[in-house]
Amino acid sequence: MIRLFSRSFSYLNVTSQCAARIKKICKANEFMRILVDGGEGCGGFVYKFNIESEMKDNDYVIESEGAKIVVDQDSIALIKGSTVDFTDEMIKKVFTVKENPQADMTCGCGSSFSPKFK
Amino acid sequence: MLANVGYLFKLADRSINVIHGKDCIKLLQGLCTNDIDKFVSSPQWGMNSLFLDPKGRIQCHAIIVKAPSFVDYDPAFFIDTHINQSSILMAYIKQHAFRKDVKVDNLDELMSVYATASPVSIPEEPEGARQFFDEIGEPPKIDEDLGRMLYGYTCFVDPRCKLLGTRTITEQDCLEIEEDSGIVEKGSEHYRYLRILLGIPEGPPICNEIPQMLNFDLLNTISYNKGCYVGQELMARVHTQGVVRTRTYPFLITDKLEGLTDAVHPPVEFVDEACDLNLSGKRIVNDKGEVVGEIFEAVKNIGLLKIRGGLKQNIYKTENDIKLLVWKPYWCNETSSSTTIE
Repeated sequence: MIRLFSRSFSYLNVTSQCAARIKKICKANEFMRILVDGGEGCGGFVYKFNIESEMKDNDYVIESEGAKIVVDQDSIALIKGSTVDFTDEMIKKVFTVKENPQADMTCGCGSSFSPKFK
Repeated sequence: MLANVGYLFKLADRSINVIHGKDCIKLLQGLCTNDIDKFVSSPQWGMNSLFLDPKGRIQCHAIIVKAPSFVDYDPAFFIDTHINQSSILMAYIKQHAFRKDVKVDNLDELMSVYATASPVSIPEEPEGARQFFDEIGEPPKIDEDLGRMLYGYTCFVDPRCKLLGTRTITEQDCLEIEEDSGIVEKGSEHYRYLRILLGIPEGPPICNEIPQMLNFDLLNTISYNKGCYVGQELMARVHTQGVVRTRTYPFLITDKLEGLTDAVHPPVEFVDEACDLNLSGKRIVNDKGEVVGEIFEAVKNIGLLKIRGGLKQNIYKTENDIKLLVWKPYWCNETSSSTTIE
């Protein structure tokens, strides 16, 4: 079987800080799931992060520097091309989705966004 | 027979949708400006609300009403909105109902909105309180899926301001006026006159405006401690700054001023049916000739205008020199809000 893959294209860009943090908090069979949920937050759509161990049908897997991020098919359409980062500050330690090309507006704290409705 | 004891308005310009499903409280809480969680656990039956865009501008105004047999474990709400905004609001709700168990159905062919108001008495109960009629005729027909939600009627004191009387959502043509009761049946245009004379904005003219400028912070519409919702950042910023520089006032074009001083607002009889000035969008000037505001809704010889810096005089003029009598609405108590006019 021949499988085509690209090293230059990824659905998400993952920063080194983010990859390091995921590796630190996930056990061997675990991964971080990113989910977009509607009707919440100042922008109307909110990013959610979970640690899980079970894959579902139609999940997209993004691997970077040994860290594994899983996104479902509905959510990937809303975050494709974004950068996933981890910020460690005195006030908070938090995973964030930045520079989302699908977002029309992002709320001040960065946890929610308003998509470009077509 | 008593004259003008009250009016029954059939509001043909309103549209009713029902929103139900186990996630509908959560979804509405994330979208509207008022606190649904608090509303659900309160005895209130109707709640005024706005739906904003992410920049905090008004997309749509709606009154959210508990269905007649409301239960919080399987909630259903009527969304009472202007007929021209109904499809916009439903599209807005459906766009955001991503991963949510929420269903929306249009009930325009089945249900109607009525209002009752009286120039001589106002309801004793607070805004939003449920009201009951002495008796009602045949119960509404039961639709298989929606039957539980639609059975009966829902009547409540207008959640914005009790001077607007009560509001009823029921099956079409269910309400009858007893003979010799002194109650007169009127249409939605007449209700619009009453609403404008009371200084309460609603419907398409308020689209893309900032809620506080239209006095919505004084009309039980915005909750500042409910958490995040679409457009909340602008609401919070205006609130914490503590200053609303622009406010909305009603105006009247008239030559006869007798009888106005003691009234809560000029009576509906002051509306000149023959007048057709079309002042919507016209700018207004003060006695120094400075442009201080704009008319955003006008009908016949009355309307609503926004004035920057608050009401400083009672007579303003349009740029083409029409005299406007402007007053502060009776209910407008700015101390009830933490935001004041600078």
